[in-house]
Amino acid sequence: MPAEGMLLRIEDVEFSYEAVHTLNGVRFEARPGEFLGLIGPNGSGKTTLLRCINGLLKPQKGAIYLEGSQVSKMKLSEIAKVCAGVPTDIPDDFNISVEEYVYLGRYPHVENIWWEEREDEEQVEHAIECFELDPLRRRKLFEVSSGEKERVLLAKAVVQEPKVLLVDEPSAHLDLKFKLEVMERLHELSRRGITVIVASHDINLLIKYCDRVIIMKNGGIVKCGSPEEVMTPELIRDVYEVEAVVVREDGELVAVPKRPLREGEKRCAPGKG
Amino acid sequence: MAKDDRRTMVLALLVVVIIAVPVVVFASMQNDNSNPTSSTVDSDALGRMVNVTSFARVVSCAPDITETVYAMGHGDDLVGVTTFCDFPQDVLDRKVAGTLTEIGGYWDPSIEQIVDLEPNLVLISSGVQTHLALIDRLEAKNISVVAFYPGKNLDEVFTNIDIMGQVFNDAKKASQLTAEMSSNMNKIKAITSVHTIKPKVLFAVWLDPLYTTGGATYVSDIITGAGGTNVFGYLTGWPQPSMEKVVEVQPDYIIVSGTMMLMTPEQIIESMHNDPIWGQTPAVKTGHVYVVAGQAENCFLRQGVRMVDAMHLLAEILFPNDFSADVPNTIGSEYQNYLTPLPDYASGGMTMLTPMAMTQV
Amino acid sequence: MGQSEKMEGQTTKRTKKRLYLIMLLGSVSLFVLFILYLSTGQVKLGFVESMQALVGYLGKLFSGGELTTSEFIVGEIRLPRAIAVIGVGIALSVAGAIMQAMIRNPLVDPYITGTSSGAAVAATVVMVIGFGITSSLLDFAVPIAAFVGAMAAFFFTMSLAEASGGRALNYVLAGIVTGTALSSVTTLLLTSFPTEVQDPLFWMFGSFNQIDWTKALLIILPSLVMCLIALLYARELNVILLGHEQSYQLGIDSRRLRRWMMVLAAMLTAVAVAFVGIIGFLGLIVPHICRIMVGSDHRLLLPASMIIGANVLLVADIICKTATGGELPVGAVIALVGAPFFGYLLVRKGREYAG
Repeated sequence: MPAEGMLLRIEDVEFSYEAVHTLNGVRFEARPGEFLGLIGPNGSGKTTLLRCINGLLKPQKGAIYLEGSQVSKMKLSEIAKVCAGVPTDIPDDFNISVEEYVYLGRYPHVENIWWEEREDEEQVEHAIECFELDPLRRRKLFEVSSGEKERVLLAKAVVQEPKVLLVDEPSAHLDLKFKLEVMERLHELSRRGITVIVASHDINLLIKYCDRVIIMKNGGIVKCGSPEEVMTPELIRDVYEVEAVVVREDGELVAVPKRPLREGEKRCAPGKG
Repeated sequence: MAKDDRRTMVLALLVVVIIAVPVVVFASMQNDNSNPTSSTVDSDALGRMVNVTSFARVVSCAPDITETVYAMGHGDDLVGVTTFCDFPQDVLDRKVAGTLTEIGGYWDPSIEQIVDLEPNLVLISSGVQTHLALIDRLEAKNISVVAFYPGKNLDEVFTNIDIMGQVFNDAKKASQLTAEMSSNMNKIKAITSVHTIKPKVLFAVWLDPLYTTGGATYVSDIITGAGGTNVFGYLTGWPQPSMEKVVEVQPDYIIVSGTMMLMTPEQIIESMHNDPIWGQTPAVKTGHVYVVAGQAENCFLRQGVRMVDAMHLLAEILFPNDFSADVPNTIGSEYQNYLTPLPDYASGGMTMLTPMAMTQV
Repeated sequence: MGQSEKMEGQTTKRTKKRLYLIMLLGSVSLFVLFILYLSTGQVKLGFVESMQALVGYLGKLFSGGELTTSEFIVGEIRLPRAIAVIGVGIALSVAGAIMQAMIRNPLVDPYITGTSSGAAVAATVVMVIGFGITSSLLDFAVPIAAFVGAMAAFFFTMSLAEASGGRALNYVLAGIVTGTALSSVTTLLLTSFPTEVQDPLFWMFGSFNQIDWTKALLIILPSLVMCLIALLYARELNVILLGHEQSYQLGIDSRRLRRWMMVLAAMLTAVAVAFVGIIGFLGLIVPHICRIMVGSDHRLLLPASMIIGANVLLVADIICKTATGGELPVGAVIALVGAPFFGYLLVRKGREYAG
């Protein structure tokens, strides 16, 4: 039974890709409106975890609960009404306009087989306004710049009216300005009550905005807590095998990597199931 | 429509189709033939029993059928024939005069043109898919359809004549025809059977690549009936043997069907003389290459009543002395000039020429 | 800020308008071509005479009575043929559109899963090796065989594809395997029976000259129903273009949907091929022409493909019927008619059209 107020609950989830153990005894909870950051080295299971949350992958052990219902028992259409994912990028050969693309996000909610209803249009128009996509409406997707694309992706996710938003590497190919912009918008969404989970390699960006940070390694959660609790040189050394210092500058917490660990300096990371 | 209703809609549509299809099929199989009958065919080439309402205004969909109709004496009843129908001469004359309409080729008869002629009877070949497809629609217009065998061998040709006899309610004429043909075949056999060594014959339908006849075909039967041996009789169908095989079989006589080829018959013979392989065959060396074209070719390749003419002609080629015949190396539509009367050993006198030779103008 | 209120409802209205426009124009054109179709053929009937014959025929359908020759030609030969042409036109065009959405490749036509090769081999076997079936079913032997052959080839391709991963590329490769294997069997059959070659070859070129009412109904009813079913899933077809992961999180299992949609496309193709032989190019060109005209939204694309497909095939068959001498193969005429038009469209609007 879920605890009161918990939107998302992940209990002892284990997942394997053909005998490769990707997730091991993962558990955490998230409240509505929380902004969670998910960090960890390549292969730590961040993407797999996100895929388990929206039902794309089914964990072999353990359970995931969205709003009290177990994800593996929910119908796809029901999951889609609650949980939305923002992909890293849109394929370049996609020949539809921005407006049409955003409309696709309404799919889980559209009642009518053919035509959208007033409510759907309102949602889409609202999102277009919010993300300043009005001038780009009719442009085809491949004519849109990276920064603009990011807004388009977010708009589509937002019209899905999700309670949980899963974002995988949003800023990988964006410049400084757009990186910050994306995080600002996601932060704003979380203020509106949406639980946002962002997986990223950009640690400093996450710790700037997130309420809590989850750090993973080898399929398990090493630590889950506030940015200050998680961002310690010891943890960074254990998880990333990188020597780093954490400084506080102008009220901002920043991790500065110094050098990778040499062979002899590594040791087993804690938190392995 | 809401998404939930969709599944119901799909099922409903599928039910509609699943019910409608058998209904349509069933309805199409209902036949209604309540018309006065002039003749009845007990079993045509498709095994159908056909009531022929009238045999005035007949359409023929194959050249050999046309010839058989004429042989039965009912050429005047024809109103439609194929573009390939060209024998007897009356066919060509009537086409020119406009009293005989072309309804298409052999493989693609036009249902519209057939129906436009308002025929009572249409004669088709059971071996052609497009002919079979005509049956339903023609019968829907109360046009009788009778199917004939494609004529894979002599037996089928005789059966076709039988069926034709039923069509025209003239079994007597049909059996007369078959009797004459059989009798002539027997006469030819009687003459040629004195020779114990049968000449080896190669019949080439096409020369480049070589297409010839195997055993158990209509043409092979003609060769055997003429007293020769088909060099490729051990093969089946219409094979394409390699040139090495030609060297191996050493034909004494080569018959080439020449109408479709680009060269003239004389050029064909000459090219074979000059060819390294053909030139080595006994046939070429002894000057026994014969090119049949025009109506001569049709005797060999059109599986119909003139096959006896083909047999006769070939026998004369193989055994010129026995028939007092002198057949040139290139034979065209004047072939009947070379057919000498068949001696009637039983009565000691001469018998009539074959029926088709009589109808030539 | 106030601008967005004015735009409300515009998108749907715009899409609706475009749909109605293309359907209206297409239907008008279809009607004209239909009338033209009834007035043309190997027997020359004037326009007025053809229309009189049509009216006479329809009247006698209810009252019963002997048909005149013209009425027979127009009502029993040309009318069912026109309906069959429309049926095949919509079937192949929608099947092509579906397959292009499934495989996400513009070079795809409805035969890519081996349906045409399967139909060809089955039809050839029946035509060459002989019938041995009573004459009332004779006429159905080839269509039944062709339909079964087409579906069997498709299911073989599908099992091969699913066993090797079930992705779009797997289907293409499996289709190539099935298609080439079956084509070589057909070739072997034809070379072994050279005297029987004509019937199968004629069949393979595709032709409407054997259509009667039964066949026409057996084409149009399933085609219409299956196209309607496809239309019901138009929006889903849009969504799955996003790829498996994205459509999954929008609530669609794209792998499952793809399998069903492919079965539908295969059935549409099989129904068309069974009765008229292999008509190429239509399923390839028409969806592209429509995409250039109305875009990739399947709510516009599918209906447009239907109406444009029917139009194109009517034009092609009118040309076939009235060409000198015998009938030309329909597939070749479509290529002659459709390809230049497609080329023109490509040049004019090719820049916007990337996929």
